[in-house]
Amino acid sequence: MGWFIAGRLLAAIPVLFGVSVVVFTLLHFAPGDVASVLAGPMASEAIKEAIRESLGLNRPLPVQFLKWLGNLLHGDFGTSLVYKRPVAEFIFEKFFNTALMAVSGALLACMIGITIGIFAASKAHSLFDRVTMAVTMVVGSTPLFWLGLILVLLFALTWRVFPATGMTSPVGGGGFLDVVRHLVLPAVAAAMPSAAIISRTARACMIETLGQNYIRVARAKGLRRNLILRKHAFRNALPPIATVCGLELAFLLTGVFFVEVVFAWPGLGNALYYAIIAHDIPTVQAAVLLIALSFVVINLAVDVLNAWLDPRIRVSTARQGGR
Amino acid sequence: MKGHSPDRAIVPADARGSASVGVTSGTRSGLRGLAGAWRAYRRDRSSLIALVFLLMVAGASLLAPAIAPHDPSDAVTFRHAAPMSEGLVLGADGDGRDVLSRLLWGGRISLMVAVLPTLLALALSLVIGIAAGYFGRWSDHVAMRILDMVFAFPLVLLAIVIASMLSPGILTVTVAIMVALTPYITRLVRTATQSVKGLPFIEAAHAAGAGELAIVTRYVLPNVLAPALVYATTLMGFMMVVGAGLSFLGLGTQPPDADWGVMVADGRAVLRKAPHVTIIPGVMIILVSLSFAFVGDGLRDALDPRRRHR
Repeated sequence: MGWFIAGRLLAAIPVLFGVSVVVFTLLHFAPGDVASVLAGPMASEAIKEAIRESLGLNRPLPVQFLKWLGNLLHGDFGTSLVYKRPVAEFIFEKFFNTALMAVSGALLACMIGITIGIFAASKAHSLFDRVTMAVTMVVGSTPLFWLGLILVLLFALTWRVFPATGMTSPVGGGGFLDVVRHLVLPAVAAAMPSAAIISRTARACMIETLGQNYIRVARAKGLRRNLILRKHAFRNALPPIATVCGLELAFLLTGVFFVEVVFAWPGLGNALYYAIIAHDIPTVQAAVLLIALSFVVINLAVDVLNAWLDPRIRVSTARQGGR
Repeated sequence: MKGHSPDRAIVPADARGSASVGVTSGTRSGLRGLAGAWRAYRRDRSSLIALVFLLMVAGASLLAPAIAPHDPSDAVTFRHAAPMSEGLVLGADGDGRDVLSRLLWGGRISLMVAVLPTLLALALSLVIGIAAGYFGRWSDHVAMRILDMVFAFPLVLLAIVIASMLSPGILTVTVAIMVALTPYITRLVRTATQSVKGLPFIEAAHAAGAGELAIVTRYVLPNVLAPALVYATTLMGFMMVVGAGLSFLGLGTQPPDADWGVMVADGRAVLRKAPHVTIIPGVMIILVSLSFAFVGDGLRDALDPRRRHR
């Protein structure tokens, strides 16, 4: 197991390096001159040149990249062109807010998805199965931003149960319960499409497992249905389901982009959105890097989790590694 | 399973990364093959309904200049967010513009954004994927390492970043989606190519003295095309959602043009007073995107001879 994790970690290093190269080059060629943004519209060419000199923008590209990467490794993400303060000062708070929503969304999605999937599988081809699978199909192709607006329309504008935007109330807000109240709608919006995907996977895996011979043996022994479902079938159907859940968490980190914009949730996606509009390149770079980084980390975690849940993967990979 | 985003669109398990290649012998496919595929496709009722629905939407959008009752970007009524009534079948939006006309004209852009970049990505992927999978060695190595890096970015994020680098517009969305999608289809084409490459009829073609180019175009391509086309069709629905999302954010279609994503965004201003302005384009996005998924399913069964005879 140790070798397996070490191997995966080593493989992630070139990927992360590649990610930083891609982020740097993509945004280096983005339109808009940093110097003119910083200096303002009235600045003379000499002032702009001085700014370029001080930021090292007139150096060769590889030199700039190495300097940028070096700063990055020291936790320096550069200075936001809009807020005029270090990106590192505010980006982690935004990241935390996004993680809060993505994780609660993913948990919600897993709970709903797995429950529906198991029920649908245990009553395969019943009316319940067919109806829920049709619903998941529709929800799975629903745009997140539209779903968010519909939830706002129903639960914030029509019935006024939950607040429509923000993370805390402007007056007297900020407590734990206040944040939870604000979290409900965006988390549900983010969770629904993922729940749909997870339930379809869970159903398919469970049906496959329930068709195995050892399940028939368990039934023949006279074990109770619930026990068979829980102990015999679910345990064996778990690895692929866990994979999908992990991938959905990774997806939610970007999926929440739209949800954050709709609900004005002060997270990474929202920050990225306004940074893109304002051509605030350092903020865009930091946000994209953080999302891509967590994406890689979650994928890694899913691989490891899978190996832990399913000894067959562990053994076959170890054998390959030992060659 | 690293880059999951498009896999995540409801794609049946066997249409994912590991392509199932239903081998068709290169020479006998053709008209007769197509007729057989159509017969198989027709048998699946939901795919057939989805195809008819897609064709109807596409037809109505194409005919928008002729059948749209009003100019999509001109106010036709002083009553903002007017309800549905005679003359305004689907009502008016917050700026008094006819929703039906905007829906018809917007369909042209939304459908184009779903189909065109996916087809371009498919063409590009066929070239890269076959080159990597068939000729292997260093071209395979280089291509796969580059793809690994791209897979580290969630598709939607990559599309948003690319779109934000260029000036907003339809062309930008097309390029962004095409670039973001290519790695995923390439991976499938490469896998499919590798599995075809080892089959006996390729060896037979070699033995018969066929050149590499002939083998690739006559024997490899036809067998790789089917799974790639199926995957691309399923992705089109997902790309319609992504494209609408980019437009919703203001990175895509620019006023006075409007696609369905822009229409949803416009509806926000009158969400309470006139929810239909937001709901209608959203429902269209869902229906069309679902239809693509069903058509993809039907195509998969129809194009795979092994499934066809079941």
